[in-house]
Amino acid sequence: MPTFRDAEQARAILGAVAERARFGEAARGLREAELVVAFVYHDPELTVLMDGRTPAPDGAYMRVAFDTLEPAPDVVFESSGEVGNRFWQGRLDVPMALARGQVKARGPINRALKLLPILPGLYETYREVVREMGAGELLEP
Amino acid sequence: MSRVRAAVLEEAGRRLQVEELELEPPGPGEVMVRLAAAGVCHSDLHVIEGDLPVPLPAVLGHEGAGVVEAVGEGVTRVRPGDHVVLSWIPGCGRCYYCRIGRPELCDEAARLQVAGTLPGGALRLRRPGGAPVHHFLEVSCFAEATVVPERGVIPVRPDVPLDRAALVGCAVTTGWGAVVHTAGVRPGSSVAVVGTGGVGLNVVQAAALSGAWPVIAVDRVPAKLELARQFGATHTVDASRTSDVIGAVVDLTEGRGADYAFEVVGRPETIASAYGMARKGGTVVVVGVAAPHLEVGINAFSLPSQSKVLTGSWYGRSVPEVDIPHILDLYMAGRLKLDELISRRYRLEEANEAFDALRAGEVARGVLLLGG
Ligand SMILES: [Zn+2]
Ligand SMILES: [Zn+2]
Repeated sequence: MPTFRDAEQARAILGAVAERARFGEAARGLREAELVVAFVYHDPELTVLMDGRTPAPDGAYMRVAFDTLEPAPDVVFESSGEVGNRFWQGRLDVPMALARGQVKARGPINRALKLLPILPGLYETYREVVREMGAGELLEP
Repeated sequence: MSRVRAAVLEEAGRRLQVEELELEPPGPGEVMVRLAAAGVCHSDLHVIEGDLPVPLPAVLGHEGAGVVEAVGEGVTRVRPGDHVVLSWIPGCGRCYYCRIGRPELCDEAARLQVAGTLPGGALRLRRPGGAPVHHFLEVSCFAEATVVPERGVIPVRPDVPLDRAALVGCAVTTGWGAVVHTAGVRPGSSVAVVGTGGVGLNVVQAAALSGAWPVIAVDRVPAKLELARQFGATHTVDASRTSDVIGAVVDLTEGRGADYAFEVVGRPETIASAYGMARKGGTVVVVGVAAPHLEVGINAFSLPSQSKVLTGSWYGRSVPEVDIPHILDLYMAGRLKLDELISRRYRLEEANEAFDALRAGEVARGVLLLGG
């Protein structure tokens, strides 16, 4: 399966996705749940923190930071970058991936899983960004 | 009393040292075997690295074959001149597990593994005029000759080259039995094998021989994956090129996961991977031997909701008296590969090099030629 070339690329793509999604429906869900969710990736190593608890100065629903676990996340999803790339495309069956151990989760993950139904918009944004950045090889048909 | 050269491990973390030891003649119910060849196995390496505590100093080696030189009082199973493969679980025949037909779980053999002696506490190896040296798994075949219990010698046909026969003492029987006895793989079922060293290759070939399809081999060393294809793997996953081996196996099995997943590495991560790559209701067989202090994390909800069968396989759940001759017949009939398992042959003095190669993951199986 395709995966990020390196942490730089992953950070650039996910940074752009977050920038576009900060006012979107998924971010609003995170804000309403007052959740801080972290995605810890290995190979490449990258931590993405999505903070729906701390109010953003420009009124966005969430703040995004890389390689930090401050503020302390409620929920942490840990996986390989490969599985992460699959997730952001909407190609990962998350409950199945948890059962198989492809994704390890800590914290009250039910609160985070509740957000799954509002994520498809985000998946679309991800695919858009990947294509715009000329990294189409990351996408599965 | 005879003199034999043997590779002794003085203490964990040290190199093996080849020295001359005194070997006492076999006592009642014991057999002296002049060794021809011994395979170099991960379990020996575990002892060398201190991951498997056994009494030291000891003569290691538990995968061996040779020719009977002398028998002790009351021995009826073999006579001098018989070719034998050594079993590292000589079932006592009396304990609960032996009586229910699970000799690989023999209580007495397990006790003697920890005691480092033969039955009855016998020690037949000693430094000249000095202290005894412990036995390892009642075999101790990194030596020119050894003394073992009668139940630990399996008579085999004399037309099989003994270096090939030696491998059937551990690696082949362990891999074969995991497929045939523990899992009971059925024709047409899908199989994933994590780890294709000496034992893993035998899981692959037994699965192929059982009619499984696909047979997916997973390893980090491309040369081993190439070898796995020779042994019947239909697909390979190079774990050095993907960090999602579970996803790769799921993709190769119509999105379901494998009917049977075998772990043949002995590490918590690969055990968790094998669990993850089995389909719902599938079977996971852990063959790899991890160090005793390690633990595995698996998803708790999946235990009931995916209802996989998670089990282990010790010495292939074999009955060595039956399985070892049978496997050798299959080899002689051209149905099962043994020649290709041997990557390199070494002299006893080169035992440490053989372990270096095993540590480096370079070889399927290294074999010490002991000249018997
Ligand atoms: Zn072994
Ligand atoms: Zn027993």
